Amino acid sequence: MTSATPVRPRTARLAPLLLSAMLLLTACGVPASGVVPAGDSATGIGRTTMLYFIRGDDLTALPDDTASTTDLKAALAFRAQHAGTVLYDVELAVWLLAVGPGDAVRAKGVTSELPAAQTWRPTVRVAGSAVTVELPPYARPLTAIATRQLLCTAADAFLTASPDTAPAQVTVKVPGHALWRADGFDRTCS
Amino acid sequence: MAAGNGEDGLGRLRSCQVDVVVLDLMLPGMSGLEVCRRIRADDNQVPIIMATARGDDVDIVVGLEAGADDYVVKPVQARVLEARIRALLRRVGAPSGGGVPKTETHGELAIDRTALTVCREGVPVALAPSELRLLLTLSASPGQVFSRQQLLEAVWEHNYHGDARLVDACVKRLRTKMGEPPGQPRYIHTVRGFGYRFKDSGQQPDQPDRFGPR
Amino acid sequence: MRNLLKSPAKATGTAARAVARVRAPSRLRGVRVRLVVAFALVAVAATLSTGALTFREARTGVLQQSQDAVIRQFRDHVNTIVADYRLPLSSARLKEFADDVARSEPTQSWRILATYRGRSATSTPRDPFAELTPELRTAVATRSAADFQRVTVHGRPALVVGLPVAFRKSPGTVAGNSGLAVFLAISQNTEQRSIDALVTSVERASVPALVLAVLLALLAARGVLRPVRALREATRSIAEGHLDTRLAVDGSDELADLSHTFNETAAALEESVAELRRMETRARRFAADVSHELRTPLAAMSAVTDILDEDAAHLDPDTATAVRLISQETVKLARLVDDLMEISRFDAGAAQLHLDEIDLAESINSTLATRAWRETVHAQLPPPGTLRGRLDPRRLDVIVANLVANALRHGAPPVQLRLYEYERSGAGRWAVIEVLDSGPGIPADVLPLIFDRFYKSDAARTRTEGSGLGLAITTENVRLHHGTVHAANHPQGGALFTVELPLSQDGLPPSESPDEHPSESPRPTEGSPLA
Repeated sequence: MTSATPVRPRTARLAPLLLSAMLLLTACGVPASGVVPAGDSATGIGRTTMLYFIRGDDLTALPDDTASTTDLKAALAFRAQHAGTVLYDVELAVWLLAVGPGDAVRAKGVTSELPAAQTWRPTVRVAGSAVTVELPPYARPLTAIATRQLLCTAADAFLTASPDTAPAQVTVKVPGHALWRADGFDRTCS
Repeated sequence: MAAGNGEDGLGRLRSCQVDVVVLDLMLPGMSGLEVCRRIRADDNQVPIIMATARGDDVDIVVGLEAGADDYVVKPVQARVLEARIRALLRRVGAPSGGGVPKTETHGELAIDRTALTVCREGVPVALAPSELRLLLTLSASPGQVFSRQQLLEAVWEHNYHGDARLVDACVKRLRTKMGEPPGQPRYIHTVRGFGYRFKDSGQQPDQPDRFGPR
Repeated sequence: MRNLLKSPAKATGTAARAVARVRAPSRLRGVRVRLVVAFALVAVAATLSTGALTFREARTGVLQQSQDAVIRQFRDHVNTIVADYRLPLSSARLKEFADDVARSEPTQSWRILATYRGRSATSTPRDPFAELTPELRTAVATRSAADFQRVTVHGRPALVVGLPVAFRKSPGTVAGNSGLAVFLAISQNTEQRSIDALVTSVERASVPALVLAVLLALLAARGVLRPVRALREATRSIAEGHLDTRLAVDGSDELADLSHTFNETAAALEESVAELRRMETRARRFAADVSHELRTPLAAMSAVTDILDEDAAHLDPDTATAVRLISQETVKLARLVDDLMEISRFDAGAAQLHLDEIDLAESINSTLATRAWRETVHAQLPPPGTLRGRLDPRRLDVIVANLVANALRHGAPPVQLRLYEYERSGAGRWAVIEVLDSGPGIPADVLPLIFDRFYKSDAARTRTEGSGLGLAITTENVRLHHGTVHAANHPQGGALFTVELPLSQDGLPPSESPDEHPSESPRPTEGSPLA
């Protein structure tokens, strides 16, 4: 009789269904996943501009409230609306550095070898990750450490402001003397 | 001599002596069986042949027990009937054992083979031809077992494969005539599975059989 | 057809046997088993697939809920903590930050990793933070939005959330990515346990479903099988010959329809069988009546031809030849009518066995002697008294005479006849009679036909003595004894007929003949040694 054949097709038809159900079940437990977006990032971290002065023979990074005057910020804030925040941060850092340490820290032995500039400011230009700092003409060339001060300050400010970009390439120009060019923030800064 | 019905025949029988009666079982008026009984009531020794329409009729057995010596099946061929009649007449006429008068005594039975008479306790017993021939055959070898087929050949001169009921019916008639009540055979014994045997078992202890157990 | 009407049980017994043969193997593959298996499979499949789908949804829900809560909490805490920090962060500050965030969770189950400008700090000291994949790190670095990922580390599931921190929104500055990123790794063990509980419950649900399915299947099977079984019983009953079997028509489905059809078929069959039986009875009675009627004129003819035969010698040769011819033909006709009557009696079931205890060797000897065949037949018989049995002597005579006559006529002398006894296992003692002639044998194509009625072996010899019924009568006589007859060609030439007869009819169906004469009933006072 043909009783054997109907059984097999019937099981054959049901078997894949059964198998898939079993497979569904075996993928139990907590499954691994790919990267899934989860909403907004956290916000609220603040920034300080670090100024690289000299204490003893070494560079020392100090927050910007140690600069001698801070009404620069307001003046720069106005410019920042047109120029972009990175330039603002770098300009602020360099100008604050040029102003020199305040009296409170000067008393603790912090000095700066950058010639104090009361009436002029260095010109800062930012193009992608290239930062150019142009100083006014000096009688004498900058010392190495002074250059380092400029470089580290500018680079640190740049990095703080725009962590996504490649590290800045900072160029310091002093007319009348040679051109200093250096990469940005590195281990020699801190 | 022919008769059309029973009464006629019976009447004619009384008037003249016949050698053989051929009796049709199916007669108008009185039945053949009844005629047969009446004939036997009058004369126990006339040979009677029954004519029956069917060979396995139950009436045959009844007719044989009523006294017929033999039977034929209708329509009977002339030569068959003739042979039967001749055989029957031989039974009546032929003495066995030569001309010397010989009377055998078996208990109360006295058998004279020459005169063809049988006496029981001195009283003559009227036997039909078949019965007489049967008794003579059996008593000629007392103790020997005869199979029915052998008796058919010896007594009726049928062939070996004849109808064994002839023998059974005749034995039954013989026993009745010799006063043996059923269940107590005296002279004629049934050997079950083999046939019959003549033996006087009256006051004599059982003799060993000639035929041993199978 | 004759066999069918005579013994429907015997002929349609093959149908019953066929039914039985089919029944046995299908036990394991029966309707009930198939239904149970099918129902069970469907129930299990349905339960499992439903369970699987439900489980998936439930799992997603469970995980979603826990992860949303964690991410929200994480973000809130970081937002709060980060207000106290100002970039750039030194390594120490970074570590402080990581610790602060970790401590913000009351259950202390968070592991934090904070990265800034290539530096990283973990809340748990020397934590390898293997859960963090490069993909997540890249995603958090490139987009300023939170991301999460589920990973399994060392077989344990964990949720990793990456949260970049943006600058404080202050006038004049756009809040952008500050470069500080916080990563949280939290174990998913609790969720795993909940999900496992779900799985177990799905699996357990399939058990009652299975049980229910099996019960339903058995119920359905019973509903189907009962009428099927009734049909089977009815069919078997019909096969056994009870043509009046009918089924009760129950309901109006296909099975009821089948029962109805069965009833109609059975009724039609019963009617046609009854009709055939009537026709056959009429035919047989006709044949019997005709044969019977023929006997009377034949008897007259025989009588006349007997007389003529005697006087044939005194007639002129032509008349004598004519007379002898008539005589012979009358004899043949008489023999034919006798044979016909005999056959009719068999057909009508009126043939009876008159058994008697005989010596077979003596019987056969007598048969041969009566027909003067002693010279032409070499008989190998056991000594008289050794082979006795209960047979019908007249019929035995007919059987032997017919076989030997055929051997002498259609075969050729010398004919050998052999009689012996053998014990048939489980069936008692049997006698075997073999008749072998020295003729050409029987052609193979004819061999199955020779026992048929009116079959004459040699068509050319139409003027044979026989009626054509001899072997048919022999077959019937043998059958009446419950014996067998068989024809074959002997390998060394000649035809061999073998008749086997049981030597006692005990244990065989009776042939309805009270053949015992009343005077032969057993009596204990008989002097017989064979009690």
